[in-house]
This record gives sequence, structure tokens and C-alpha cells, in this order.
Amino acid sequence: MNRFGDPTRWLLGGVLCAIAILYFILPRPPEPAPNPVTGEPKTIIHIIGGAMERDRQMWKALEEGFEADNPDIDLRILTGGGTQRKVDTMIAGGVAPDLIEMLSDAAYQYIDSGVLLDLTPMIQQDAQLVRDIEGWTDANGVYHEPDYFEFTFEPYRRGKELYALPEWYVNFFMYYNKTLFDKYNVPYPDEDWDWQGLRDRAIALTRDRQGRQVRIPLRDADGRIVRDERGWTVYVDNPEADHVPYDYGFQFAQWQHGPENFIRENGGSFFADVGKPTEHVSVSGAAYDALWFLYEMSVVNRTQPNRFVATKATQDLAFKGGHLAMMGPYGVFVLLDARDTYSTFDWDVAPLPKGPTGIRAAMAQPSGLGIPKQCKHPEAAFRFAKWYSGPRGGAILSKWPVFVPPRRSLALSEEHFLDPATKPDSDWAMVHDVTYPWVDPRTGKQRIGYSFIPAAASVRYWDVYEAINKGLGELFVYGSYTLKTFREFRQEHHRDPNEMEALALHKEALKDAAKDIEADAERAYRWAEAQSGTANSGGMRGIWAMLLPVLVALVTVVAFTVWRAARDRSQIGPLEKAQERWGWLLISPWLVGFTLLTAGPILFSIGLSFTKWQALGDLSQAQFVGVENYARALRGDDPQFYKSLRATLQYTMLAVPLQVVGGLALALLMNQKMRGINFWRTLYFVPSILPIVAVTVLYLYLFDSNRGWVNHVLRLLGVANPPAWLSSPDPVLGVPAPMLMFICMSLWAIGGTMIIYLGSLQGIPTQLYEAAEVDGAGRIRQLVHVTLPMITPVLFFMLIMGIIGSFQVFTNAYVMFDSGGGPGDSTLFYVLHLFNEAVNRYRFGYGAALAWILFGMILLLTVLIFKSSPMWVYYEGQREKAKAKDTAKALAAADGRAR
Amino acid sequence: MALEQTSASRWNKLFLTLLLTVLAIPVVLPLVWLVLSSLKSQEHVLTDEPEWLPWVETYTVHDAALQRDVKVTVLDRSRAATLGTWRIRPAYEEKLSLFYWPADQVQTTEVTGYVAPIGAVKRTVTAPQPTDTPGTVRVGQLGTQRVVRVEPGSLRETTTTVMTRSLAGQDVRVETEETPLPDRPDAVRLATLKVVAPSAVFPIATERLRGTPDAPRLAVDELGIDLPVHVDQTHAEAGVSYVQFTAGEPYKVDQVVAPTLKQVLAVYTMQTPAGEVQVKPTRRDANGQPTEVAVLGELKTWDVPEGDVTAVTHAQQQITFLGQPLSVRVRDDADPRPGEVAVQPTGAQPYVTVAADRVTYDKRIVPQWINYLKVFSVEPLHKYVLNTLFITGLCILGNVLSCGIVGYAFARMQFRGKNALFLILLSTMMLPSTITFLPTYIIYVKIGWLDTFYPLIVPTWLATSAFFVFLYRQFFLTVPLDLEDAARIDGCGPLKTFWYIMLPMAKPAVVTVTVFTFMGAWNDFMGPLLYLNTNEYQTLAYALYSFKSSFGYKFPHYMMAASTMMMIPTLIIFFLAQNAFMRGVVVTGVKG
Repeated sequence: MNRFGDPTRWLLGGVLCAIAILYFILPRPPEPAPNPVTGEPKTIIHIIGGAMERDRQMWKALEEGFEADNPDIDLRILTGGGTQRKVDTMIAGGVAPDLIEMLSDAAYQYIDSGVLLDLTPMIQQDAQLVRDIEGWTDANGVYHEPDYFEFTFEPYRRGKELYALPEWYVNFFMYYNKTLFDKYNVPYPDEDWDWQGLRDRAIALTRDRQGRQVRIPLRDADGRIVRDERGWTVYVDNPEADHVPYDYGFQFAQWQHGPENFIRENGGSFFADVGKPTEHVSVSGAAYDALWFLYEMSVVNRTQPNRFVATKATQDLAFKGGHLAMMGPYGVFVLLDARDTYSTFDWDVAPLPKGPTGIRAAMAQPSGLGIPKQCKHPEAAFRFAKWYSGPRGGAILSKWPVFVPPRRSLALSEEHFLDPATKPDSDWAMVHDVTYPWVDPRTGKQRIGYSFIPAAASVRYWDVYEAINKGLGELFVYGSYTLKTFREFRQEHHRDPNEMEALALHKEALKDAAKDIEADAERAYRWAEAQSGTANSGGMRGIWAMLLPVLVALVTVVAFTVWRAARDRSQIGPLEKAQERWGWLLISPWLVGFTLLTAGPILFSIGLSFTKWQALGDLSQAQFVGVENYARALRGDDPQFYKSLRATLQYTMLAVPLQVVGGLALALLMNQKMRGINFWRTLYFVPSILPIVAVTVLYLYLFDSNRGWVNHVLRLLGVANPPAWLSSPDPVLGVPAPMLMFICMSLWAIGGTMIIYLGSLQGIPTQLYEAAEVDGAGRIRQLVHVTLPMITPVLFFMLIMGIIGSFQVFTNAYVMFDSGGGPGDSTLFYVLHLFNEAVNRYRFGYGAALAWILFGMILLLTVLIFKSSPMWVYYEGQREKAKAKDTAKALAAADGRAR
Repeated sequence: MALEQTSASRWNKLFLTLLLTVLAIPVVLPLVWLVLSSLKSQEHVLTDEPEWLPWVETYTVHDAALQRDVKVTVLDRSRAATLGTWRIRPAYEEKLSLFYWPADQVQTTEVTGYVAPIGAVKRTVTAPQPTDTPGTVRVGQLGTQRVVRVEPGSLRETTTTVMTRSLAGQDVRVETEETPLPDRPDAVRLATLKVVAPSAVFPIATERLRGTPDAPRLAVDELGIDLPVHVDQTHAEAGVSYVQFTAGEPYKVDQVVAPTLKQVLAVYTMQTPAGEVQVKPTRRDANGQPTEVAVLGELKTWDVPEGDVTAVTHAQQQITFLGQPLSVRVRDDADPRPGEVAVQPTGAQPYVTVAADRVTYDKRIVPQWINYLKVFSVEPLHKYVLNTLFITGLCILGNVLSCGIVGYAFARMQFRGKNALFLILLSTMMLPSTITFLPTYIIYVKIGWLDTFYPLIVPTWLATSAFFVFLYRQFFLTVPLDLEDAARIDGCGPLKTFWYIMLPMAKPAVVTVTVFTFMGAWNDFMGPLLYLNTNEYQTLAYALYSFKSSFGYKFPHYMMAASTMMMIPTLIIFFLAQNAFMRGVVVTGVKG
């Protein structure tokens, strides 16, 4: 009976002692120091800083600089992992930091939700600041332009109100590999380069292993170069070169702002009316021509790396590998890493090429510092915002020369931002266009400097961009495949058309694809409009909107419990009464935890699922929408809903059986008495120790299409064209390649399942085997008739947990493909979609509805399995239930007698 | 007899070992690669041919002026195959984009530059020139081209074929007289060779120079001839001369050699009053004819007020690397080394062309332990460790006990509403945390637990993990009832029964919960991110994964180093726990 005096108890005791000791030596944060001048306590203001080493260094410098200038303020940088999620959560929790850093596209969300304070009154008190913002006319009547770039305020203005002071801006430009340019004697991009220059360079740089150009100019009978209607060279395959390039010319950046830049350079726009997007989404006309330009250059001319979806991860890896000459348009966040990690070649940045209209859509994205209404010390916070965007803060910022200071005096000065000593060499590409006046083709107005990314690019319309990007992805992703399509296309439509005819026909054919993209984008746009807080203002609001569903849910659950309890009532006897008290007592920790910590959020989310709420600011903004959220998903208005459901079901159906059966098989193998078995167990267990993020990154490298181990081994085994795991949704063994990769990942970490099985195998009483042996059962029969039945409770557990877990699979896909869902949405898992809607796009109500739909599905499956469990799950304890009852009665009788 | 004992046969064991070994290959190899890659430098994690070991390739070149080998980076390796030259620069130190150079070899000169406002940007310009307008000067912008609009047809597009040969490792423009050899497609008979354009200055061993000091000639070993060169006297080095091929007379060769390289260049020219100039088309009309061209090498000029041009004198530092001057900036903030200073190249990354055979190549296995040092240089490391241990310990105790007791009640106690409650317990797991984290966060804020450890610890003491409760329940359900009855007869209440009977009987479950809780708390990232604000409160996992590895793909070597180190404690716990729950478990039958 007293077999517990062994390591387990030691372990628990040891842990307890260790904790007691630890408690006394735990670190405590420093006390705030008093103001050295007045002796009064300093005002503490908080801001979230990035957690990367570089961010921390920068923030530390800023903190020191600011506190030296303002001895009465203690600026505290909170660690935040650099995620917007933390800021949003803090705002929703009512404990927002005193200053909020926001990129222009996030600003819309904050301002529209009424989170931020209008800074105008505080600005008005500082005459110099007003001059710097608005410009001024001196005594001689000479106008002085404002020190701030005007466009950096655009996203933060609402009429006369201003909600942030800009801290820096970043713009979009090209990255190029100088070494590759040198190698093939191609001139670097210069200030005046245009689309044609980009295309010619990209094609000239796309070479095979021997350095031969893969596409060469088409020449007519007289040997003259054939040009198309734009006057551009027509290229054809070089018969002497390999079909598949080795060095690639250009990778078009498939991200939210990528196509936007090119479309606007062509005088087009996604929205019929940018700035106030009330009209429909357009992927035709100038927009389509821009897309065709990119398509023709990248896909038809094979200048982009084969088999790469241009997710940031894979694109970055291609460029880093030194076989990609140009990529873009990218902003500054690539630059941050470029400096540290591009070491094997020389690189630089170039402004975007000018479009056929002669303009360069050198779009920029400002970041501003806003002060939330929740802030306790707005004056002190404002002083920091002013200091940061002023000369002192800007001078410190310029030492990390990737963020362009918002002031002309800093950004345009070689002493500060344009320091010639730092990479990139062409940092003028970041401030260059400030000097160029241009005419906005949409408004006809002359503008100076950057075209700022319009309201349309705000987070609210995120999925419009995503719909477009996904559509483009389908065109671009198939790098190699589309080319095949192009060939097939030629064969289908013309016996032997010349290159130009074929191109024209292909262009027409692709217009259908563009129509689809347009329809998707349009749908996303309508949805975005419907969900935005300002769309309509009727209906119940606030906490009351949520009360009804919450009450209904509460009543249902309580009624269900009471009903079940009442049904059991008939069987109650005197001993059971005592047991019942103990039962409730023993589960009381959970009851307390559930009531205090779990039930509230669950009920809350039920309530929210019937509202639309942006998860920013307080609940008073939640608006009752009835069952609209559920209806949208189930009606099929959300195309990604069914896509994500399909991906999740596919994953569950494959991964769960493999895990349950595979884990058991492994555990059976490991349940042997053999020398060194501990070693084997540990070995197989190790992969499940690694955090999922680490596993995902490891797999990203292992499954790299060109340079990863997996494809290397496949090639050694004679597979000529191993699958492009990260970029193609083409099926491998009947499953989309990325899905198979995630299933491999889950199988690799099967050790966790294994040890649970092992535990249950170890618990099987030995006399059962002895009895079986006496009965003459062989090992197979022992397995089938003793082992398996005895571990069915754990099998049952693994099945339920496997289903619950795999329905909620999320992290690996999120780390691998960002929020994108992988090639062709093949790994857009349900919870990933939910996360995108609820967190990334601020549609918490819809997200909650999605969560409850998922909940319903899992619950249904679980209940079904539970109902089926009497048929196949064997409980040693319950077999003796009847007997136990007898025993209990006998005991009770004995008790009675004893009394 | 348990299953374990029946498998004692030697062949069985051999077979089992074989099977386990084969199965282990896909399990272990990625791990091995992970650990080995944590010792690589970043660019070796993903290579054209996947690699296992942390190879480090070093290239060195002997710099005669410095009298020592200089580590270099080869920027363009593929040139060697075609041209016999490599472009190199001094190797950077640990990607800091600086390298160390002997302090006495850094020359400082005063340089005067001019800065003028051009548009809104102040730019470095060429020296100001007087103009007709008083008070104004004319400045030229450095490195620009002039774009002019021209009539279509005024341009001539010609292509010229340029013959180049690799001579002494240099790509030299030559004219040759060659006759093809019918039986040798890879070779020609080279009758004469003439250098037509001077090559860049390059270093060469002085002993290869022939001729007189006035008319030096270089022995081109590959052809066995001497060609006239110009020796750059300003870069005298012991044993090394800096030379340049000069254009000269045809040289009789008469040898069978590989065919000469050809490059086809398209050249656009335009007739101007001053003669024909080379231009570059920048824009074309609908017929494909150039309408705008850039006149190469011309400066854009502006007239600016005289006072606006400022002369800036600054000290320029430069080093001489293989005879070529490189502009650098001395970095005082880098760690100093005795006798050396850290210099950072200014402007473009400078490179020098050298003959490939001058570069010594060395490839050896050098584990980059620095990755680990870097990852663990987060400050204050010891505080993070203490916090993590404290949280993890309390979480383990909490989960093992509270989930155990609740699981016991659900497994063995009979009470009304049990099944309904159990379903509710399970269903708490079915709602994704993506949705519940926000209201949970608000609750913790309201009760003032933000920026404390409570949100990370308290839930584990209140059995909120349905996973563990369910696990315990399943294990307890398999415990024979007789044992409990016996305990009850001995007078044990439910708590005693739980402590003395159920927990020991479900030891595998206890250990599983311990190990899983440890893994969860040890690696938790989201919890600390959301609930802890103060740096002093942060945990190790949060610090390592966010500070150094950006939690992503960009610095795989750091991330792998962090994962490897974080894995070790879990492994130790597992190894110990394993012994605890495997030893003597099989003797748990009911006795008598």
C-alpha cells in the first residue's frame, strides 16, 4: 500500500522546496527613481517596444536620450515581442500603453474605434511644432515649407483632428544583388529606369548554369530585333540554353502592397475611387495591364524562381541564396535583416521603376505615435511623441538608417539619415522622390513627394487585397506550371502561332482569371464594408446586445445539468449521499476555476458571436446583428470558410488515425524489456519536446524545394521532379504537398502520444498475461485479447484528444505561411482563418461565431464517440461496477452493524 | 508473465533493435541536422548541396605590403571558371560589416567636398564653377546622366564583337588571328594576339616580369609569351608588382589553344557636332525607336546661389588592400584589438580582382559556438531562468495534484450531474483559445493580476486543464475497484485513498502530466507575452525566442541553438521520469 515512498514523491517534495527557495530570490523590478531636480516621483509612461535585439538597442538609446532631456519622466519600454496583438489586447483590456506605435494601415482601425486622443489641442500650444507641421510665412512674406513631410500626417488626420505624430516612414523599393549584375555585365538600376528597363534587366539576368541567357530577343529575317506594340523587345527561348534557369532575374513581391505599386504606376487602382473606396473593385483596364506586365515578365519569361510562392520566407531564402538578382517591391523590414544576413554577395536598393505614365508610385508607409484615451499622463506621453518625432529623437533614429525620419531636416541630410557610410549605398532611393513633383492620374492634382498608400489599404480592406493577392498567387505561383500552360495554350489555339500572336491570345485568356479575381475581391470588399464599425448604426449596442444569447446559453447548460442530475436521483441511496458530497468536494477546484476563469470567457464569446465588435476599445461598441455571423459562414458567403473546413477535415482524417495507430505501434515496440530501451524511448520522444515553432522552422529548411534535404534525398532516389513542398498545392500521394508536410510534422512528434500509451501499457496487471499464457494464448492473441482491451480507455482518450487537437491545428501553418494559408489555400486551417478574421481583421464577432461553429462540430464528434464507447472501451473499474455496488452495500451494512 | 518477459529471445531482440534503428532514421536525422546546424554560420544552413557538418571555408590572400595573409571573401566565384579571376574583398568580421586592419596601415587624408541643395535634398556635388549670373555658381551632381530627346533614326545601333582572353588571370580585350582545327572542336591554332585595350591594374609576382625596367613585359604563363605591361610604381610591395597590360603590337604566338572568348556588345551611337558619342536609349516610341537617350558620362548641372554651396572638409581614412586604395571609416565603438583597428568600408562594398590562383582556399570544420554565446547573451539571463523555474515548478505541482484529484472524482465518485459536468469540462477544450484569450485577459486585468505570475500559475491549481483531468480519469478508470474497497475497509477516506492508492497506481499518468506540464510551461511563449510586461518578470523561452531568433526563419542558426539548449532540461526530466515510472510498475496486481 505504501509504495509511494519513491521517486515520484521525492520529485514533488523537491519541486516544493525548490519553489520555496526560488520565491525569495525572484527578481523584482526596480523602484522608480525620483526626479533628480525636484525630488518628486517621476511620471511613468509606458510604450511597447519590439523584442528583437536590434529593437531593444534602439529603444534603449531612445529611452536614455529622452530621459536625459526630460528628467521628470520615467519612460518604460514594455516587452512586447513586436506584435500588434499585444497592443490590441491591452487596449481591449483597458490597460493600453501610454503611447501606441502604429503603421498607417493599422491607424484606421484605432481612429475609427475611438481609441485615440485628438492631439490638436496639445499641438496648438507649441508654436514651433505648428510651424514645423504647417509651414510658415516670415516677416518678409517668404513662405517656408514645413519641416515634416506632409504625407506622413495623412493617415492620422480626420478633418481638423490629428491623432498621431509621425515617428518615421518607410517606402517601397527594389533590392538587387550587385554581384549578379556584375557577373553578367548588366547595368545597375538607376534613377531613371522604367518598366522596360526592369523587364530587360530581369530577362538578361535569367541565366542557366552555364551562364547562357534563357530567353533571347526574337529577330526577324534580317536579323533585326522584333518589338511589340509597346516598342519592347520580344523574347523567345534560347535554343542553346537549358530550359530551367539557374540564376533568376526578378521576383515580384507577392504581398499586400506589391501589385498596388505597379498598378498605380500605370495610372490604375484597385478601387474606382481611392481614398474613399465606395465604388467597386477593379482588376481591369490599367490595373489589368500592370498585372499582365508582371505576369509576362515573371512567368512567360521565367524570370522568377521556379517553384517558389513568394511568401516572405521563401522569397527571402531565394534572394539570400544569391541566385536571384532583383526582388521587390519591399519596404524596410527586409532591409533590417538584409544588413545582417546578406553576406555572400554585394547588394543595394533601387527606387521602383517608373511606369508607362512616367510616374513612380514611390509609395510610403508612415508610422505614428498616438496616445490612447486610456492614457493616464497624456501630457507626458505627448512630450515623448514630440521628442521622438523631433530633431533629438530623429537623430538617434537615424543611427538605425532603415526608418526614414519624418522631417526634411533629418531625412535629407547626409549628416543624419543619408549617412554615406552605411548600407544601403543608394539610401537616396528612400527619400529621392520627395524632390519630384508628379501629377496624380486619378485626381489630376499636382503632388509633391510620395503617393501615400490610400485608405483602401487599411486593415479594414485587408482581405480585399488578400483576395487579389491570392488570385495573383494562383497565376504567379505556378511559375513553372504556367509556362507549361502557356505551351499547351499555344498548341491548343494555334498549330504554330508566332510568339506575339500566342502572347496576345494568352493575354486575352488570362482576362478570365482576372475577372474571377475581381469577383472575389468585390465580395471581400462588400464584406469588409458590412463589418466595418461605421457601416450602419441601428440595433442594440453594448453589453445588452450580448445578454440574451448569454442567458440562453446559461439556462440551457444549467437546465441540461439539472435534468441529468434529476434523472440520476432515483438511484440515490444513503452511501451514495456521502459519496456525492465527496464528489462535489473533490471536483471543487475545477468548479472554482471553471466558474471564475473559464466560464466567463466562454459565455462572453457566445454573446459576441451575435454581434459585430472590433475587439478594440470597450464593449459598448459591440452591435447586435442576430444570427448574421453564423448565417454568413454557413450560407457560403465566406469562400474561405469551406476552404478552411475542407483543409482541416483533410488534416484531421489523415493525421489523427496515423497518430493514434502509429503512437500505439511505437509504444508496443518500446514496451519491451531490453537493454538500452530507455535510450530508444528518449530518442523517439525528443522531437515532441521541441516547440512547434522550432519544428516548423526546421521543416521550412528541410523541405525547401531546391536546397532542402528532403528533395535532395528524393533526387538521389531518382525522383526527377520532386514536389515543391512550400509553393505548390499539387497533390503528392493524393494530398496537397504542403498538407503532407504538416502530416509528416505531426508524425515526427509522435513521441508525445507514445509515452501516454506506454504509461497505460505499463499499468496492465501482469496476472492477466500469466492467465492468458496458462490458457495457451500466443503473443498475437495476448495482444488482441489482453493488451488492446486493457488500453482502450487510453485509446479512447487519444482519439478524442487527437480530434480536438487537430481540428484546432494552427501554429505550424501560421509560422510557415504567415496568415496566408499556403499555396492555393491548401493549408488554410480553420483556426487560421478564424485567427485572420478575429485578430488580424478585427472582426471579433464573426471570429466568435466561427469558433462556435467549430465547437459544435467537435462536440458532435466527441459525443458520438462517447456514445459509441460502451461498445469498444473497456474499463477495468466499471466491469466490477455491479460487484462494487454489492460490496458497497455490504460495507454499509457492516458500518451500520459497527455503529 | 508480462509481455516484456516473453520477448526475451535473442533473435527477437536483434530484430527489434534493427527495426528501431531503421525507424529512427527519419526521426533522428532531422534532429541531428538541427543540432549540427545550430553550429553553422547562417549562410551554411541552406546550401546548394545540403550539408551536415559546420564547414567553414576560408580564403586568404597574401598581401605583400602587409607582409601577411588577409582573410578574404570571394564575391564572385564563378568567374574563375571562365576568366581565371576572382573578385575579393577583406572578409568581414562576424557579419559586422567591418574588418580589422593594422592601425599603422590606415592613412588619413583631408578631403574637401562640396554640398549644395538640389531640390529638397542636399547632395554632394562637384566643385562649383562660376556662371554669368552674379552670385550664382554652377554645380554638377556626381554620377548622373543627361537625358536628351532625339529624332528617331538619328541613332545608330551597332554591335561589336569583342574578343577577350584570360591572361594572367585577367580578362583582357584582345584581337587574335585564329584558325580552327577540324579535328579539335575545343581548340584553335592561335597565330597572333594583340592586346587592344588596357586591363585593370592587378597584382602579380614580380618574378614574372621580364624585359627592362623601361619596357617591362609580363610572362603570360598559359601561353608561354611575354606581353608589354605598365608597372604601377606607386604600389611597391616586396615580391608583388601592380601591373596593367598595355595595348601593343600583335604578338606571334602560333600555338594550339582553347578558342578565345567572345562578347557581343550592342553599342548605340549618335552623331553630334563634336563627333560620334556613345549613348544609352532610355525611352522608345511606338515604333521601337529611341526617342530619349542618355548621353553617357555627362553631368547634370544646376545654378545655385553661391552662399548655398558649403565646402565640407573631412578626414578620409583609407587602407591599401593588395595595392588598391579602399575608403574606410574607423569604428571606435567596435571591440579593439591590440595593434589593430576596426574599419568599415564606406560606400559600395569594395572589391579587388585577383588571379584565382593567388587565393588560398581552406575548408575545415569549425563549430560556431558563438551562436550559443549570442543566443544566451540576453540580459539578465539568470533572472529569466529563475522566473521560468519558479513558474514551471508551481505549474507542475498544480497540475499533478489538482487535475489528479478532479480526475479521481470524475472516475470514481458517484454524484448527480457528473456526466454532464464532465462533458462541460471536455468542451472547454473545444473552443479555440484565439477567441477566449481576450475575455480571459480582461478578467485578469480586472482582478489586478496583470504583470504578475498568477495568470500563468493559478489556472493550473484550479484544474483548468481538461486534457490532464481527462488523462487522469482514463488511468484511474483502469485501476481495479478491489484495491479501493480494501482501502476503505482499512478506514481510508477518499482523500487518503487518492493519495495512497490512486496516485501510486496511476504513476505513469503522474509522470506523463509532469513531463507534459514541464514542456508546456518551459516553452510557453504566448502567456508571458500577453501577461507579463516588465522585463524582470520575463521567462527564458520568451527571451530566447523573441530576442535573438525573431521567432522565425530569418536567423535559423540562432533559433536552432536556442531550441537545442531549451531541449536539454526537458530531456533530463524525461529521462529521470522514465526511470521512475517504468521501474517495478508491473507488480501492481491485487495480492490475496
